[in-house]
Amino acid sequence: MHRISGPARLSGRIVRNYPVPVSAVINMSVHVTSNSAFSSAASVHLLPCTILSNGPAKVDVFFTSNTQEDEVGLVSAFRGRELRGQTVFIPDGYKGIVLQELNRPFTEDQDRNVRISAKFNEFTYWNLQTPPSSQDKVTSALQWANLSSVIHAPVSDDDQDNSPTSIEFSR
Amino acid sequence: MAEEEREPDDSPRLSSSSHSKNKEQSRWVMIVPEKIADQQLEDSSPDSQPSIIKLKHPKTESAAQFLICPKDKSIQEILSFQDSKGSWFIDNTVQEDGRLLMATNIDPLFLILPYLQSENNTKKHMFMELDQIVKDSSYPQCNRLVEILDHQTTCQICDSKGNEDFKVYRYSEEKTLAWLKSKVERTADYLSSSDISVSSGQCSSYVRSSKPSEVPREDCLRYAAGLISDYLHPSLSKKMFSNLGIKEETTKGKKVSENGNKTEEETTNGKRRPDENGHKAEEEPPLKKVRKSSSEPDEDYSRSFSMPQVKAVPTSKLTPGQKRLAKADKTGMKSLSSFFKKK
Repeated sequence: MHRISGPARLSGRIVRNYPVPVSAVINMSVHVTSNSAFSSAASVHLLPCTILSNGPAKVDVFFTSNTQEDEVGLVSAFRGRELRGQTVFIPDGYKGIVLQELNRPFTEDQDRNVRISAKFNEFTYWNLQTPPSSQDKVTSALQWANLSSVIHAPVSDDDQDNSPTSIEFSR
Repeated sequence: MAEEEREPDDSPRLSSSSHSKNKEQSRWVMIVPEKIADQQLEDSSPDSQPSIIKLKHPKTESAAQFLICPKDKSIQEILSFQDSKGSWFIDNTVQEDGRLLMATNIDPLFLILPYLQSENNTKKHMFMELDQIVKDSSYPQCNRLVEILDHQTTCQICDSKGNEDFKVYRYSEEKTLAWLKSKVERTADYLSSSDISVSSGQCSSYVRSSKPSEVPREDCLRYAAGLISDYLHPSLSKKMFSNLGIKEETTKGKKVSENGNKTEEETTNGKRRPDENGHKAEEEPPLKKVRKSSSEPDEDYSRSFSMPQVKAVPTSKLTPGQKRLAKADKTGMKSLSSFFKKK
């Protein structure tokens, strides 16, 4: 189990619970293509446990249908543990997507193709016994969306009165 | 509940044949700018489609992933949010990888800065074409950055010569520092109007809602500069801090010094704010100390934080969970037999 060198050195973000750079999602160039029309937004839940599985499961029958709402928020259960949930909205200007790779190329140097297989505007975030609140880590992560657009918007001339951006033709 | 009641150890029953290993992961949950999610991609040529590429991160100088969209000349960095444990339910499927990836805009100037700086050092202040400067055999895709940069933007951190058809550039530290200053100030403005607590990086999770109405401007500036220094080589971020006349993360350092770090205390006591003594030359050594001392404890945080991100051995994780369950007060839980009563 090695440490990822990137996030380890970007310490400020970790302290503030902002998301950290990814060094290896996918190891090469990937083209993102979109699937045609989506009938409806996907129902997406982030659970407070790791489930060692990828693939189909009867989520709507056994999980979603058991979900109830009380004065604190959403209540459900998974494997006998009570879960407390909250709907989290994707910040304005952003959208949640699920990227899916259908056919993985046989060789490493081929470009890989992922497509957008689902979209969502909100997801449900589940905690164990503590009801989710605005102070959960996932909230700071989502705050990053707007903060980053302020940090990374191009600097305009208005922002930078003192230093002209005109072209310098002579020395 | 039949399927979900199964113990994690024999869960392959739930998995769809080959995709249970992390290595072979074929789905990712990501938040992207709306215009990318809603783009009509079918009729566009492969070159204009968004693609995920690997570039050198300007701070760490190691590989990081980016989403580039030639169509609207934008580039996003791919970030990952992950709690210690987590998995997704997406409609009627389970996804083991509980990361929430976020593709958020990054100013491409941050990404070309390292190339500009190093070319400027080795080539003795020569003017060069941009595609000659931004060239890297370890990250061949960095040339795609040149496509999305326009002349006017590049000139915010460069001196430039030439005419319409042939333009050459040279790194300008003066312009870069001015550019960084406007970024820090704009970010600080945003922070002071937002509900993000800036008084101490570490306490943000406790005090966010009870933030005092007046936050010192300096705290906002420091927090903003700290965020921006995540995109800068340490040597440049040091110059940025001294150009802004603020100290780097003193509040955080003080907290951290509880962990037995004495260097930070020395610097806070021995050196007051730069504006109090005003001697630029004398600032250098303390700044160096601050940087050093604040980077050491940070490593500890990140170690504890990033370890769970990397590992994919949840078997060891689940056992303490099961132990805790055994000890826990089970009043709120249904017994297993109640499952059989109903149907």
